[in-house]
Amino acid sequence: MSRARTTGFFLVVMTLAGCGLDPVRVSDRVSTRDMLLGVTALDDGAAAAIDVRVGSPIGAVELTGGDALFVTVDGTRRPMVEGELNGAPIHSVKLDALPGDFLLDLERQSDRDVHGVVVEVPRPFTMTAAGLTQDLPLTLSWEAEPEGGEVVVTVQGDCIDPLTRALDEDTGMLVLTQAELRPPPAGPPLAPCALQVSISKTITTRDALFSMNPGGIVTTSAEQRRTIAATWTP
Amino acid sequence: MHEGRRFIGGAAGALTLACILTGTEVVQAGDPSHVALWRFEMHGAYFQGDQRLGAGTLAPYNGWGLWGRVGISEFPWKWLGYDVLAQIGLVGTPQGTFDVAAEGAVAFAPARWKGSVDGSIVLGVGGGFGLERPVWLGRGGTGYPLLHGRLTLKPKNSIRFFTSFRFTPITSDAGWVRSYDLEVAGGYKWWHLGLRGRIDDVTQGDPERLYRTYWLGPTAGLVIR
Repeated sequence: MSRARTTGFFLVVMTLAGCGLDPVRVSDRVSTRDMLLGVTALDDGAAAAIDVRVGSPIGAVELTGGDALFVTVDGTRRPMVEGELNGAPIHSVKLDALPGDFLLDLERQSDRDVHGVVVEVPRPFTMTAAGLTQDLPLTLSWEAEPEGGEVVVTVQGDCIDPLTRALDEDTGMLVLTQAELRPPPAGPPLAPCALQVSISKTITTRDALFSMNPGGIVTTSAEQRRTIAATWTP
Repeated sequence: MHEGRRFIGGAAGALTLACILTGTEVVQAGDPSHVALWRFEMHGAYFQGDQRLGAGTLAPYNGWGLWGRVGISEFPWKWLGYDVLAQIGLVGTPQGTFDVAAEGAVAFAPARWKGSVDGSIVLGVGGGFGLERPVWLGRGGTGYPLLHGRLTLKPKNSIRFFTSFRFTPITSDAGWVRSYDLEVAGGYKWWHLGLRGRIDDVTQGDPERLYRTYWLGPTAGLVIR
């Protein structure tokens, strides 16, 4: 065999070896029963967004062939718009707010549909912050909701190390002494210092899409987050 | 009286059919019609396709296989003979590294001729037993029916070309499994070199769909008859 023919044969073999090895991550190739739907929702008090990522045994999935996701928020059904985040497909809806639980539907042309997945959302709330003048502690208060999910308080600013505190239960109130707001190595502020105080309530769930094995999985994480500004005046 | 005639007629018909199938003479070794084929060979193949993951997801996969094969096609009678094949090898995927199969078939030679190019057509029907294919189905043994055909052309006494087709359908708990083999080979004296391709089709899953694997690779060996 001549060198040219040998090279040609080698190229054909290498082409065969290379073709089709990257996972083809389109929904036409993925069974609904193998899908992992990851739902994240955030209402930060100013706007809200719902994002859904579709995973599978072969990686993140792009919905094709007429497959589509819908959410029903406050009685209104909306199609989700496909985009890309960090190189992976993501399906999103922008909203003014998340008033409560919403429904997720996955409609497929040649496979099982998923209808009425309930995504639990903490109730909207408001918060206030007081104190941090002279020796007064920072006092935070908000509407408590016993079943409102995990509550996390964060305080950050140029004059302190960021503080994050997860609460065992939603008490509706938290007092942080000035000693707890640990200053960076430069020491406590000598002048009034701006702080950002956030309270986040998150409900997370994990359920099967179908009562069979494998039955697909849906994970949800819905967060209500409120942020207000405070000033530490020494 | 009528029963006796029916018996004689039936016996004559059976005898006629036997003569058609077996011919009137036993073909001797070295028969120039070349329906017989004994060969030892090595076969390597690259494969790629889709395997099933989960309930019904098409997942690309690929790998290599290498086999040693012994095949004997012999015709004790002019039109009627047998084919046997045994192979053992390795398949390079995570699911399996060992492959073995044994097959046998009754073979017919409906066409054989001499001329400027001698040749023959052989058709066979039989069965086999081996590990499940494609390998992602599992590593259990399975029996299967077998259909095959082979066209042999011999333009010169020392040169031989043959192409063969083989079909093995399996219906199992795993679904509807089919393998299609096609081989094209040429030989000079004792040596032969060829190319063999195979398609493994499996229909199963939720939703039910086709999982196809393509194989392609060279085969080389000895033809001793």
